Amino acid sequence: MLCQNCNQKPASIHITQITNGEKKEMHLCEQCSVLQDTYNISFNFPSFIANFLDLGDYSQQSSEINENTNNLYVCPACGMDYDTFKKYGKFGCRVCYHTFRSHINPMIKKLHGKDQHIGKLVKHGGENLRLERELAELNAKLTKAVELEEYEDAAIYRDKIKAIKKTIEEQNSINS
Amino acid sequence: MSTDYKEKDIVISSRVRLARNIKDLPFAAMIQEEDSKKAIKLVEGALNNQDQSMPSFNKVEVKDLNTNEKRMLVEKHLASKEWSKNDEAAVFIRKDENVSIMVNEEDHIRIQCILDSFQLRRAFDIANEIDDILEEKIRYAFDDKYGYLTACPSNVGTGMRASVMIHLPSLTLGNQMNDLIQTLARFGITIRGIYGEGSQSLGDLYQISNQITLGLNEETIIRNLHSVIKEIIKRERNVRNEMLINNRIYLEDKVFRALGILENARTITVEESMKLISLIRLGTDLEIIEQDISEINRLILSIQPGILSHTYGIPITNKLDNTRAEHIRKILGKNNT
Ligand SMILES: [Zn+2]
Ligand SMILES: [Zn+2]
Repeated sequence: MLCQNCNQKPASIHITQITNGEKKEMHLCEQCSVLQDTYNISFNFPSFIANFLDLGDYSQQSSEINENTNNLYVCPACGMDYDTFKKYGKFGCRVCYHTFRSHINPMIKKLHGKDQHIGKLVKHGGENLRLERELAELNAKLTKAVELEEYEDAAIYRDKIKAIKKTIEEQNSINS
Repeated sequence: MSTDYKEKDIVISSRVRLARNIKDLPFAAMIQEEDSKKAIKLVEGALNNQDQSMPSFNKVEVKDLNTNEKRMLVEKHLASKEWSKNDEAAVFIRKDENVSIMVNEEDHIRIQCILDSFQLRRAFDIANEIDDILEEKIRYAFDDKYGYLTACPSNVGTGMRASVMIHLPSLTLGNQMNDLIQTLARFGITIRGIYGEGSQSLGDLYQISNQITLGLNEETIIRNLHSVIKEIIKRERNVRNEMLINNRIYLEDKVFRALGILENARTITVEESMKLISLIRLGTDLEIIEQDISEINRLILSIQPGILSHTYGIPITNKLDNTRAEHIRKILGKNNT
């Protein structure tokens, strides 16, 4: 077998990666394998992503979208069209996530099992998410306080919840 | 130190990588030269802004490097092959070489921390701290639903990939790897080996990492991976001890033969060296022979073509195999005295 990269020397290094039960293999010569980052996980995934897209989008969107109209989905910020995204599996900018949202959500859910971020937040931005998390936390505390019949604490949580809800409403009206 | 450190015989290194993008710049697929330069400037500015008590960073740009220097950074895991292909890319390397920040790889920013042995948690804390420093000056692409927005949807959310490089000679010898791979897949964990001829992974080294980056928080990802690795270590230890009890002579024979070849070879490939060094590591852990594990770990790195050719100032040709054999003899000989 010849090296996949240079097609000249015999392949002596065989790299196998298994992700979610999908097997990917690469066959390289010793020279070429050196430059294949053995410690870097970012294997080239485009076909992998494309598989997910095929599973995800048409089945749900088929009534609205067909092959010919795919190119109508062009990101207004960076100019990437959906076909290009599908081919390479890489977004052109952050706005692409909005542009292609209806297409990509099923794929993202399929990839990760979930579609809502619950990890670290940016310091600048993410205000609504921050407030919603605070709200959920306070609601839990309120329920607990009522259960334990600690009504003074419950009243404090209730007032805080009201204040946060008001802030969220205000922010939504600014954004809309 | 922490109990994690005890696992250094089995876990070679721990790594955490955070992928970030700059809010108002196009991602790698659509970026122009000018914006690429801007990304480098922004990171440089944020790092210069940091507290003086922190170790400082060296800036390295792809366009200033020759092929060998690129190789060396990749072999040292300070940058990726993908990164080295882009002339408008830079990497900021902290003086201790535990932290590197790639700019203009697949994402604008990839913060990476690599530590010796099993120290995932600490690697995360360090990467996270660097992330906070950059955020003082840089606005990231972030979404209330999808979290940190990355070029590839497989990294979105936390943008975090945590992984360990682990040495599993006994599970490999005992043909238990396939079973393990199937089991891990169910936990959203990926395992990767570099296979030489046949089915044995090169040097019996595997990289185990989280696959899911969205819908779990950083703590949970680290904790899950940590407990899975603990379980694998336990399995590997069990098989090692079993082999020692049932097949001591066979094992001793393999280890001493490996040592014999390494101490006497006059020319040797990376592939063969890695196979034999794996046995030396195993023999050391089982106290069949006495070697310094950290020295052995350094040996694994230093025999790689880019690093070796740089150390001895010779080009990467077939002659490098002679130099490699000489280098290994020197290192192992030093250990024996
Ligand atoms: Zn090749
Ligand atoms: Zn876009």
